[in-house]
Amino acid sequence: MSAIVTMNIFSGRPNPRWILDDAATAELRERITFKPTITAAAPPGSVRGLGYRGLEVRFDDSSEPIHIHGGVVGTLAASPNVVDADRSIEKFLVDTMPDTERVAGLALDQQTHGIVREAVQKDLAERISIEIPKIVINPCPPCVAACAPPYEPAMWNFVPTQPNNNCYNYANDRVTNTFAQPGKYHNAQYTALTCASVQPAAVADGLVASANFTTAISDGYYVALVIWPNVDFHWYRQDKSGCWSHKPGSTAARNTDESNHIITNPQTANRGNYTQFCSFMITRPCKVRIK
Amino acid sequence: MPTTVTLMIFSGRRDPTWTLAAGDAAMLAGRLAGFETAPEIGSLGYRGFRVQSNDPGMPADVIVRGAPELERFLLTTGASSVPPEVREAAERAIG
Repeated sequence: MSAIVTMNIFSGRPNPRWILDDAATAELRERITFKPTITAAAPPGSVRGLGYRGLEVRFDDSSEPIHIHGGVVGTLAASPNVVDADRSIEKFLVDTMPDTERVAGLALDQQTHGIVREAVQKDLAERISIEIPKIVINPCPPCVAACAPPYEPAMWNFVPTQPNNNCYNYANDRVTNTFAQPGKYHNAQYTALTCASVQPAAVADGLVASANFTTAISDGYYVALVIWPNVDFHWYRQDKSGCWSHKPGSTAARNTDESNHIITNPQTANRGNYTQFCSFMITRPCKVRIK
Repeated sequence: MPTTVTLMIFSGRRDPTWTLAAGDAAMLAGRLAGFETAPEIGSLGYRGFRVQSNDPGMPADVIVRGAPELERFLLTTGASSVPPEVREAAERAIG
């Protein structure tokens, strides 16, 4: 999966653009995922300024670009912005700019290319001490599970994966395209929509009940089971960032609750009709089987 | 040409889906004339109805939400496919 990078620097002429190859795109996603500190600030160059104003990245699977500048990664509208305090993400992207004018999208001669590089390096050097720490909020609890998956909704939010995989698939990080049901793989499917019936069905699949999500584990990661009494079940999972995400049925994976708040604990999150909290559980990709 | 209705409400279970009887489909075709599809939403609980049809007189794929009268009509067409507690929850959400 590739992406297109646009460097916002010019006013009168087209901005330099280049394509990020698959490996660089994957590394960019990884770098953003590993930046768990969230901020209410916006990238300074996204709102005003002349000269170098940062970079826009448009991923293949998204119509909306992200903006990276001045220590902030401005993520998609539904996600919080992320602090890039040492500007390592921005520097990484700047370094992917091709060196020669042979790249059509760059449309730069050698001299302009040098001027652009100089302007960017000057900005990178001057804006190190931005005031972001004053407004940083980091609501995510520590993730103490060694194998927790990153929050990557793009891996789920496309056809046919999105409509054919539910909350149980997402919590177990397993695409089956069967709308997986607890216990079904082991002929031990739940018989009622209660904690007492659904939880043992999940145990039959290989999940293990846990009293909390604060005990360090070297295998697997934490998930949580909740129930809409006698109507339905739902699952959340804790991502590497420490916050939780979920996939309501055939809809898109997301990391906010029914009040549009980041989920720091599914036990206290707004869960709509799923009022009954059953248990935290541990899922282990090597041992759990679902269908 | 079949017209299917899906009540979008569950997370873990598959959403209830049923095929409209010819008479209901004809009534629905009239009600859907000029209807603009609602956007998909990703919340827990009731998210509206999805109507899919091969009938040339019907939209191929439309989401109905924010049109209470039409939603109540669609709910009545699924009487045998929607358990009572789910029907009640949908009725409450439709208002």
